[in-house]
Amino acid sequence: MPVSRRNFLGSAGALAALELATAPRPGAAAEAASPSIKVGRAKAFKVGVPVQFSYPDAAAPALAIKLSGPVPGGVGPAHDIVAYSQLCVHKGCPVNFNAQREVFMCPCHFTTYDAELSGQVIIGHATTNLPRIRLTYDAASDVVTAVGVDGLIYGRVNNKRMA
Amino acid sequence: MTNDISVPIPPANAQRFKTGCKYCIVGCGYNVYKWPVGQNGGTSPAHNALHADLTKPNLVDWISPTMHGVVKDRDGSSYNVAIVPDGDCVVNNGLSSVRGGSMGLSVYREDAPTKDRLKHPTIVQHGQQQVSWDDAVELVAGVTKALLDQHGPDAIGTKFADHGGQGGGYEFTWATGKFFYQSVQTTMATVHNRPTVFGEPMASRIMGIPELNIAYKDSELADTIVISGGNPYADQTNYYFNHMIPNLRGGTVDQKKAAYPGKKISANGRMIVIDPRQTITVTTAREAAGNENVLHLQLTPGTDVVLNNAIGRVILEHHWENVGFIGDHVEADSFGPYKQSVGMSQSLGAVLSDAEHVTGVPRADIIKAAAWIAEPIGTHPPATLFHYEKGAIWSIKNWDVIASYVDLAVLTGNLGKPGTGCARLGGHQEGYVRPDYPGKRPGVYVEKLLAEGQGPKLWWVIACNPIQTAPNAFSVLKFIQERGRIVSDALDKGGTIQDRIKGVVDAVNAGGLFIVAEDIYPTQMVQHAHVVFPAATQFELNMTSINGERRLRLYQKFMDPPGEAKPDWQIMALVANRIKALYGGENNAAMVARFSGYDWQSDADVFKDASTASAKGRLDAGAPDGLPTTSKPTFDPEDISFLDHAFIQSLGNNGIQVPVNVQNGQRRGTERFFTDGKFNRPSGKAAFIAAKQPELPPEIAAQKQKYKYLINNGRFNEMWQTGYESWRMSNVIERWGSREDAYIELSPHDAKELGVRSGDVVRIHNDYATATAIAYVTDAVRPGQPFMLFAQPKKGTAGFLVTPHVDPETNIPSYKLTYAGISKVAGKPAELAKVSFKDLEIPTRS
Repeated sequence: MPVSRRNFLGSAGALAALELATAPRPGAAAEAASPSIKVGRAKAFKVGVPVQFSYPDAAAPALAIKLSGPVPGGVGPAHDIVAYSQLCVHKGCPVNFNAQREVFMCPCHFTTYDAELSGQVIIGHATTNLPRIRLTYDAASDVVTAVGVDGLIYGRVNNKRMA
Repeated sequence: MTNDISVPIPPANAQRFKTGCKYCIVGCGYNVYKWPVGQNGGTSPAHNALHADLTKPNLVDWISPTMHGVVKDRDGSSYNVAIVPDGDCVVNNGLSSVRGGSMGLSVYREDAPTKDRLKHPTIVQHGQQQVSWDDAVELVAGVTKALLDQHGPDAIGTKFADHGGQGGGYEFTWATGKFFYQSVQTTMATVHNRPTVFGEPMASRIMGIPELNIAYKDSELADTIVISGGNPYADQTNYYFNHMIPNLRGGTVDQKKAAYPGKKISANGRMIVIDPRQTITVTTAREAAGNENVLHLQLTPGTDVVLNNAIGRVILEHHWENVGFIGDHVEADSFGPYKQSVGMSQSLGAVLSDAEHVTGVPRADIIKAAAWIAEPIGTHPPATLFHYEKGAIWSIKNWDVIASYVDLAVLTGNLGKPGTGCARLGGHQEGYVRPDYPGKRPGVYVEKLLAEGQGPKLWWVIACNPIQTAPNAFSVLKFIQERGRIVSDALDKGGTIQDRIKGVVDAVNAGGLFIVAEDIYPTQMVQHAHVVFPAATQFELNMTSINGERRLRLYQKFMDPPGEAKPDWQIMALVANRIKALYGGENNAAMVARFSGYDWQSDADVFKDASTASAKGRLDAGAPDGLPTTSKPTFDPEDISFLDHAFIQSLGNNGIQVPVNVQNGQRRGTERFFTDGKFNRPSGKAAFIAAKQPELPPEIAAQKQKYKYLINNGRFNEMWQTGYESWRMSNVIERWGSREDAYIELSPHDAKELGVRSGDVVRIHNDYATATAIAYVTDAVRPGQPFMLFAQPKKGTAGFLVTPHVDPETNIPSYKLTYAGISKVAGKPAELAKVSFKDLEIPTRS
């Protein structure tokens, strides 16, 4: 039975909406929506060299990388800039980028994620893709901006900015 | 937007349960939280069940999206469940595998891929029609009784799981075993993955060494860990990560010093892996221990005996054998034949030259392996822990391969001491307690009889799928379809249940086969059954199971089964009690007695019944034909005497290691075997078995003559057993696409020659059948030796290509050795556009 990631996350999202609708938690209204955070200028990226930033807050390290070619969801003039949470969704260890294979590798339990394919687990003990930081690109200013997350960042109940 | 994803927080008053992972043998402990939908907890420690400050990242017991599910109980109420690895469980200490960490996705729910769980009994009448439990039970009981009366016990056959974990447990094995062995008394029984009811490492048992003899902490204490035909990264994950890897990383030096005062301890543990593939265990062990501490013996498949015996020969050459152990604890008359078998009458050079030629393993590596296993470190022999699994068990000849490997542990005395042992890694969890099998070893190759139009007339398949797992599986599909059709035609006529009983009996007496399936999902096997009994599974009943170090835990019920599904023990009791009533109506006291003893009111009652019978109940005892009958074991390694559900539950996720003895009124478990120097033979000593490298069996040799590729096969990390549940996990579907094909690993050389790229569809064919699979190009495999996923559904069943050959001494198939041709069928299907085909290996740091 085919179930795409969209369907899977969609149903989880719908459930989350239900949860919030039926049981608003104290302070929920005060939590910030997905922030926009500037990552850098596209021309400053070098192929295969990760740029570290945080999203959506300081406790959420992330890596932005210019890959060797265009990929779905890639931004910038060449559609080759992507970004991911740096925390392995198995046990939260920071992943390393392997430029030769364009994969992220966790040094703790060796999960590998495909940086070209939405952070898909190639092999490992993580149970979801590496959360992908959604980027936008403004050609006029050449600025790459982080605007959201696909997938739940390790350690969190949601991706809202923590105080 | 997908960034709205969140996982609800269990409130402080959430219900709490203990369970274990449903899947592999390691049996990691999990905590379960259950709370009504809409009644979530809060982020402050006082307001959630984790007692965590969730305004900050929860790095300890994070509930990932795949650990969460929503279940609906039979009263219609919906609950959140979170199934979270238990940090206090000594097995996994909070680690989860990709399988266990996804159990939230595995629960039955109407809005998920698990929605097609079997919910109601069915009987065939132009397709499978929902019926009442009464009608389904009446039909099966009526046919069973009629066939017993007309033909005797062997007209009733079964193929049934014999394990713990999901689809098993002591309650399961006892109820099904009691029905078929004690009540029906059939010899027409085989276990889920093999044409015998006897154990897989039979040679080890006969040598006095039950196969689950270690404690997981032994892998923290070993100087050298040897793994033959196993891939623990993927198959025994948190045994690997929580126990082996710390040793390889040098993190257990203090424990080793404490276990062996005065012994010189090297920083990193060493690992030897005997495997034709460069598995992810090899590559990650190198990452952990450094290349210099990992030795990969990449042997030609099926040459295990030559390799093992050559290692033994080197050990003897250097006098590294444990003379004291052999003198005190090994039957003296078995040593001479062993020495002969490893070539002591030949020069070392001649033996190594032959071994290098046959196995493809460089002689220097054979010598190094022997040294790592047995060369004294200072004045102490190394503590060496031997493990093995399906690569050895299902190789060219089960008996000799296992014997030659276990011989190395006997030769070096690596048994019964910290950091030593010789044990299966294991596949599924265990939990075996059954009355004596009424037949002789090696048992009956029932599927072969059925394919030949003989064998039982009723075939009751429980929690397994021979269409995907039997050797020569295509022949199984064929007899199911052809002989099953005769019965389907009879059932299509409908009528009263009594009419249908008569119709079925007439049909099976005319060559038909009446197929009953008892399972949880509509597998290929279930789809071919005339009667389907929907079963409950782990999470939906209280059950007990042991892991690879015999750690017994109670996995609690925390949700209702879907629809009208029932625990297997209830199903067996329903049928047995109905048969008993039928015989009661005829005043047949003997048969009433045979079908009595099913008055269980709860799963705890079933366990109590099994526990009472446990000590005398285990039957893998007598010797195979041609071996001394003095080999009867003196203790039962899975014995559950002195135990009950309430006591086990009180021990939580750490449980107790069976067998249990009572000392001063206290129940004490068994950490590791042989600490008292007693082995499981009447003599109390272990024995060598002289093993001989067999010729390639004729069925396999015939395929080799015609076809170029040796098709090795096995399982993959997240793909559990036949994929019955894995293919209903949304994260697995996302990773592998929706085609339900196996993949086949091809070397870059073979791929180039075949004009195949990763993702292409290939056809794999030999004289037995044709399968299709998706090519995955990787240098983990050698040219000419592709590796295919075993037991996968639909078109990708490697079992179709496996020959019917079995080891005549054990009835264990040579699943790992078949030959086939390969050709490209089509380019990468569109459904696989979002599937990564990057190399499955981890590059080493060299």
